[in-house]
Amino acid sequence: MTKINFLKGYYGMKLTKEMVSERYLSWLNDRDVTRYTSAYKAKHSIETIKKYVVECNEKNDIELYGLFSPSKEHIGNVRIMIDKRNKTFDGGYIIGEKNYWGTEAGEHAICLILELGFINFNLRKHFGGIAKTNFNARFTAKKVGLKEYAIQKERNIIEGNLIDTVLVEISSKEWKIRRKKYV
Amino acid sequence: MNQKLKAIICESLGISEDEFSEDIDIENCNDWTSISHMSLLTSLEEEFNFRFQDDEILELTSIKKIINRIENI
Repeated sequence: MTKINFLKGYYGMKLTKEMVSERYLSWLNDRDVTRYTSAYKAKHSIETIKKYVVECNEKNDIELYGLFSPSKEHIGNVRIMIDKRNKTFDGGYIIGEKNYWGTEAGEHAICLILELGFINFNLRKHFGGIAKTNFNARFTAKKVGLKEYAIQKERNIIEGNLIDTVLVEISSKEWKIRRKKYV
Repeated sequence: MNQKLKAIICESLGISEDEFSEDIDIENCNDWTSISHMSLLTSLEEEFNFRFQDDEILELTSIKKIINRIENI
């Protein structure tokens, strides 16, 4: 399934290189957007992003989707990394369009991650990590239903500071109860 | 209940005083997003002149919990 719809009009679509735009490029060159991601500080161009999208689509353990608003605007991306042996997945997201910060977009990005892993790929558990200082992301994850279960001390260097990572998880069973609110 | 506290909660979460209920929490209030949550806590710190501890920020997930916390400053 390459399109996933949510109740409030948000939807996710598998990214293709044709969907790479100047707006998308501007997100990756905005340190407010990428502060907590692996894209921080890297140099990006339309061509490097297209190459990245193609590479992701060639791998069978990575899924890269765009998140779209009810007005069909591409506002962010999610990526999941699948561990087929253990039937688990990790994931991450960015909301590139800042006018969607503080809206339900973040919740829908996490929902898209969970729908991909649990419904599309029938995996059994999601594990993730969030910088301890990223209270907005931690709040949103909690609201969607992810549970914090451990801390990795000094896991990341963010703007020169050693930052702990909070580990989060949710099972397929838990998501299938909660997803009715969104899907 | 402190009327100023009620007003701050309503304004931060975008709810009217008629809609106000201690049963409201992050699960049943769509407008209670991460940013409205941080805005709410910042407004409470300014109004009541104290600071929340980092560990509290993600625990105050219902109006009932927030009222209890403020009443115990």
